[in-house]
Order: sequence, then structure tokens, then C-alpha cells
Amino acid sequence: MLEQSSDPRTDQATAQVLEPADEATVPDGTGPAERDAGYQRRKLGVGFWIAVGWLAVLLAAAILGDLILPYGPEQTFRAAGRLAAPSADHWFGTDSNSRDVFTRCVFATRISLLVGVSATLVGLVVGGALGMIAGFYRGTIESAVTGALDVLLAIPFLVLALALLTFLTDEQNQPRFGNISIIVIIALSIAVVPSIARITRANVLVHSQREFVLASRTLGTRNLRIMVREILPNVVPAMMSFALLYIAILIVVEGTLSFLGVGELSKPTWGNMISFGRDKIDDAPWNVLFPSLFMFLTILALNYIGDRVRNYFDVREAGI
Amino acid sequence: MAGSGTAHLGGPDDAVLRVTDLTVEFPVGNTGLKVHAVSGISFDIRKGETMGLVGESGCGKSTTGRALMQVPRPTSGRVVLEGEDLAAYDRESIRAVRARLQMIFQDPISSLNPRRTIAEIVREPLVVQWLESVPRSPVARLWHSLVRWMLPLWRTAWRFGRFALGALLAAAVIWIVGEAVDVSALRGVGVAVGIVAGIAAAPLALFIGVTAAAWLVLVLLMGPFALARWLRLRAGRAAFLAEADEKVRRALSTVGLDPDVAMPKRRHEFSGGQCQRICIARALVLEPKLLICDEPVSALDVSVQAQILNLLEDMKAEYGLTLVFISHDLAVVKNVSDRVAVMYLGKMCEVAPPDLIYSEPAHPYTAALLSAIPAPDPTINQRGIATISGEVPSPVFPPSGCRFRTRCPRATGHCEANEPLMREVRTGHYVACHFPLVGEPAPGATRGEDELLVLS
Repeated sequence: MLEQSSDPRTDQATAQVLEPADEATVPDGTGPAERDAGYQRRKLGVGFWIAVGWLAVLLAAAILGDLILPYGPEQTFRAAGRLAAPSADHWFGTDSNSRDVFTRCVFATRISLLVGVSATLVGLVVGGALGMIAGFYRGTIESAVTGALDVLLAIPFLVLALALLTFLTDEQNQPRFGNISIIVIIALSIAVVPSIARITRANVLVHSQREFVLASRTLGTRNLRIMVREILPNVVPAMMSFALLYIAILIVVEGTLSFLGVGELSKPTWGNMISFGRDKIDDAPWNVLFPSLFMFLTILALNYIGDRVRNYFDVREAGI
Repeated sequence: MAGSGTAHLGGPDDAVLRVTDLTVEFPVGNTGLKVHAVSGISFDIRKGETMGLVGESGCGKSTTGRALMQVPRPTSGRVVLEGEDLAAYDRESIRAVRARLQMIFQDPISSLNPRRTIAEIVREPLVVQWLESVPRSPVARLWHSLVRWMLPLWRTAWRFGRFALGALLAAAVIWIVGEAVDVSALRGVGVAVGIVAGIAAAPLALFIGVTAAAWLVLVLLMGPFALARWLRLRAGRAAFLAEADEKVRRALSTVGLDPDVAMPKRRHEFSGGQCQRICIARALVLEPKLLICDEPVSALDVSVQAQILNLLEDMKAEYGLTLVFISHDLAVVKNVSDRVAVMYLGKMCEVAPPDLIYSEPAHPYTAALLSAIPAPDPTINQRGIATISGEVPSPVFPPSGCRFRTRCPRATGHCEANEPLMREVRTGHYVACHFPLVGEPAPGATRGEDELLVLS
């Protein structure tokens, strides 16, 4: 009956070994079909490591920017002049205030990633919890939660974020509390919550009807444990791919908000660099091109990583 | 047929499980109608016995099995397990009993979580029992009861309060319009409506505010208590895991799986039969008294069915189990059961040992079921054999009297007016029918003069 099952060490070993070279050393205790399927699923691929490498370099540069970069983000260069073309001194040229675009691109990573990632995280936690509760308990709780979320969903995303941001700042675009990045994060995460809650609820609805949940109920498992241990692991992949998409969307939205004159204006972000560079796109395309390139590569890397990680942890549903 | 009554129950003491007048009803949307899934069935199971529960799809077999497990709770009736009435217990008391009552399901693959390892899945019953062994803090218990109280109260409050809130909203709109067109009269109306609505909404706001505040305080208090409980659990965790690991290994090897191979894997790496073995291991790890098998072999291919049935027989002997075996496969039930109960549309038709039921069915429905078994003989014309016609009536509007009368070849006006009760037609053979195929008609059951006596 167990002729098709492999040595348990095989699974553990392949789960930890990531380089293809080491796979040859794994003891061969399986039939070829089973082994191939297992290896295919456990390979992350070169692209994954390139994407991780890009994010690592970017993050390191952003965090250590003050130490390793020769210029500051607000430093002006009279000698180079405004809108100077890329050169050996200024790799990505200068902007309309004679500031170095490369330095600003690197420093912009801080706010852009911080806002994108933390707003998505907050949205994941809050939206995930709401969606889980709505999908699991049904009835009155579900109608109350989905009703409230539908109201939020009815407002266009950008308008909602703009309204929240305006509400949380005063006339001079100063935050009513905390600092402006926190305000932007709060506004964007409130705007993200309904979508994530919806996706979560839809998936929870499907999985809470499965027989393993019924089996768990017959054991007398408490609802919280059923939600966390039985349903959540099945819902997380869908939530994660959605959340990674939203990191990208939020980085763009943050830029749009800057362009509209709210949110973070004093420090560079990819969004506001693109927004302010747009006026001069004919004379100095590098002002728009390079922040866009950074944003594009980062979003591509995030999505690619998300996709590979999802594949890596995916389990096949069918058995027979 | 298809009646009530308790004549077939044994003496009061010899039953592991005794079900009396078990009723399960589900609401149909908001129509006020009910699906009568199970309507007052009774049976008992002696220690070490296997009770087969058969019937066609939708007759309430599986609902009965789940009602025995109290998921969902039955609408009424008694489910007495070793002298304890589960149906009367509250949710917390049932948790303690669950270890003695386990269930395996029809679809072995779907009843294993695809993302958890087999070790975790088989250990889960032990973990749940272990978690229950450390009592939760009084704060957490208070919070749970508050939530259970609060929801219906909020619903009621909302039913009355929403009009006040609506009026408040209308007042705001009137006021804003008045402000926009600058008509002071309109503004005045808005303010007046707002004040009235505000007074009307105040009790609701106060009520929701107070309960929400109590809820919040409890939630905040729960944190430290939960931490203390977690630390207690943490301290005993290593010992528990070692002990649980031993039990999991033993359960897996008794069902014929190699623990070392199976434990780190997930369900997609197993076949259907292996998955059912894992489900059986999960059910047995707590060493229950009663095992409810809800169509355990229906989803498996025939060669594996025999393996699983033999395994269940072995487990029954090894663990001293009592089985409830729910199936629509008459041949399988005949092989495994000590007694067979036939169900139709939420009612019990006939209870007897399989030898009696399969050789001489007393109930017309049982006879029809048996004649529907395909005969492995090409010379027999299956279509020529008389079976019942028509559809199963809707369980939302079940027929009066005997529920089978709409399809029964022997039904008379008497069956329409009176519900048949369980009675013994010969030793050990109980049937709920006015005009059974075996034995005498029920006392008082007569056919009208104008009714044809059709005897096959």
C-alpha cells in the first residue's frame, strides 16, 4: 500500500535544499513520477533569486543610504544645473531643483516601500480578520460586516483614500497627529480593507463548507482554532497573491496622491518624483524614467516572488 | 410505513447509545417553512453491536449521524450515550463527551485538511482534548457568554432603533439642504427632526455603547489571562507532544500505515483508501466507545472497500467499538451489520437483523429497495421486476400518516389517516407498517370495501 510513498527524509531534505545541485544528493527512495512532481513543486528558480537580490540591494541601499551614497536627497548641485542629463557625476541626471535623481530614487524607496508594505499589512490583518469572521459565522454578523464593506467598496479607491487623507490632515496639509507617512498608511489601509476582506470572505465561505471543517467540529474544536488552524492555511495563498498585487497598487496610489498635492510632499517618493517630473518630460525624460524604472522593477520583483512562493507552497488538491 | 414508536428499543440498561424521538429540522430561508430532515426516529445500540442505517439519498441517514455527533444539534429528542443525554447538555458539557463519540466521513480526501501534515491531523483530537484540560479564564468565559447574549439583543435593538437612525439621517439631509438653499425654515425642520430622532435613538445608542464598552473591557482583560494560560500550556507542551506522538504512531500502525513514512506527508500524497485509513486513525486516537461511519466506503473503489470494511471489523474487535454504519449500499450493510434499520424520508421503516430483513422484508419499501439491487444475471429482466414508482415527496411537505403511502403499492385510506407505529412482527423483527409483507396487519388497520386488495 505504501509502494508509492517516499522516504520521509526526502521531503524534509528537499524542502530545505534550494539549489538544484544539491538535489542529486537526496536519497532516491521514490518512483520517478512521484519524485519529478515533488521536485518541480519545490524549485524556486533563478528568477526568484534575481528578484530577491534586487529587493535586497534596494532595501540595503535605502537603509544605508546616508552612509554609502555621496549625496543627500535634498542636496542641490549648482554646478550641474537644473535638469542636467545623466553623466558620470549624476548617473540619472538632475531634477528641476538641481537635485541628484539617482540619490532621490534610492531614498524614495524608504517611503514608497514603507507605505506600500505597511498599508497592505494593516489591510491584511484587519481585512483578513473581518473577512474571516464574516465568512465563518454567516448570519447577522456577516450581513453587518459585508454591508459596511459594500459602502466602502462603492466609493472609488482613489476618492476614498483622498477623502480620508484630507480628513486626517489640516488646511496646510499638516497631519492632525503623528507624521504624514503614518497618516498616508492609515488612509490607504482603510481603503484596502474592503477588497481584502471580500477576497478572504469568499475563500472562507468555500473552505468552511469542506468536510475537514466538519470533522474538526465533531472533535469539539473551538471556533477560533478552526479558523486559525483549519481554514486560514487554505485561505492565505489567495490573500497573499492579492496583497502582493496591492503593494504595487498602493505604491502607485501614493504617487498619485502626492501628485494631487496631499500626502508626503517633503521627502522623495517614486510617486511624487514621477508626478513632479511629468512637467518636464520633454526636456528631461530621466526625471520620470528612472523612478518609474525603480517602481516597475520593484513591483515586478514583488509579484514574481509572490507567484513563486505560492507555487512553492502549493499543495495539490486532488488525490484519487 | 415510515412511522414512529419505540417498541423496538431494548431494555433500559444494555444500550451504549439510545436515541428517542430524534428530530432534526432546518428552516427554509425566511419562509417559516421547515425541512423535516429527521422526524422522530428512535433506535438503540447495544455494546459491541454494529447498527446499519440504510435508505436512499436524502432520507436523513447522514443528518441522523451528524445529529448524534451534535453537529448540528438536533431540534428535539434524546441522544443518550452511556446514560448521559447529549441533547440536553450545553455546548461546554458536550466537549467533555466528544472523546467517546467519533465519526468518519464519506469523502476521506475532503475530510483531511490539505495543508496539514498527517501527524498534525491525527494528533488534532488529542490536542483539542489537551487544550480543554487547562480551563479558560473566567474573563474569557464571561466574554463568550456576553457575545452570545449580545448578538440577539443587538438584533432586537437594531430592529427598533434603525427607524430612529434613519430619521437622524433624514434630519441631517434636510438640514444640509436648508443650509445649501439658505432657507431657515428648512433648517429649523431639520433641527427639530434631529432632536426628536436623537431622543428616540438615545436608548439604542446607550445600549450599544454600554455593551460595546463591556465587551472592550473584557477583550483588554483577556490578554493577560490568555498569556497566563498560554504559559501553563507551554510548560506541559513537551510532555504532551511526546505522549501524543506515541499515540499517533500507534493509531497509524494499527490502521496499517507506516508512521515514519506517513506522518510528515500531506493528504495529496495518499490514495483514497489510505486517506480513509488516516481518518479512521484520527477517529480512534482518542479510543472512543462509539464510532459513527457516514458512508465510509462509498467514495472508494470496490477492492479498497473490502480492505476498509475488514479494517473496521478489526478495529471494532481491538478497541471494543460500537458502530453506527450509515450507507446506501445494501450489500455492504448486510455484511457488516448485526442489525439493520431502514429509513425513508426522515422516518424509521423497519429494524431487524440482516438475515431476516434481506430474506423476508416486512416493509414494502424495504422490499422495493432490495428488488432494486442489480442481479448479476443477464437472463433476468430487471425492468420486469416490480419496483416502486414516483419520486420521494418533498421533506418540506411530508405526506400525512405513513410517509411512504404515496408510493406504496399496498397503501389504503387507513395509511393516509394514521401513522404506523413500530411493532414486532416476529422475534427481533420490527416494522412500522399497517400492512406488512410478513405477519398480521396492524390492529385496527382495515382496508376499505371499495379498495382493491393488491397482493403481489
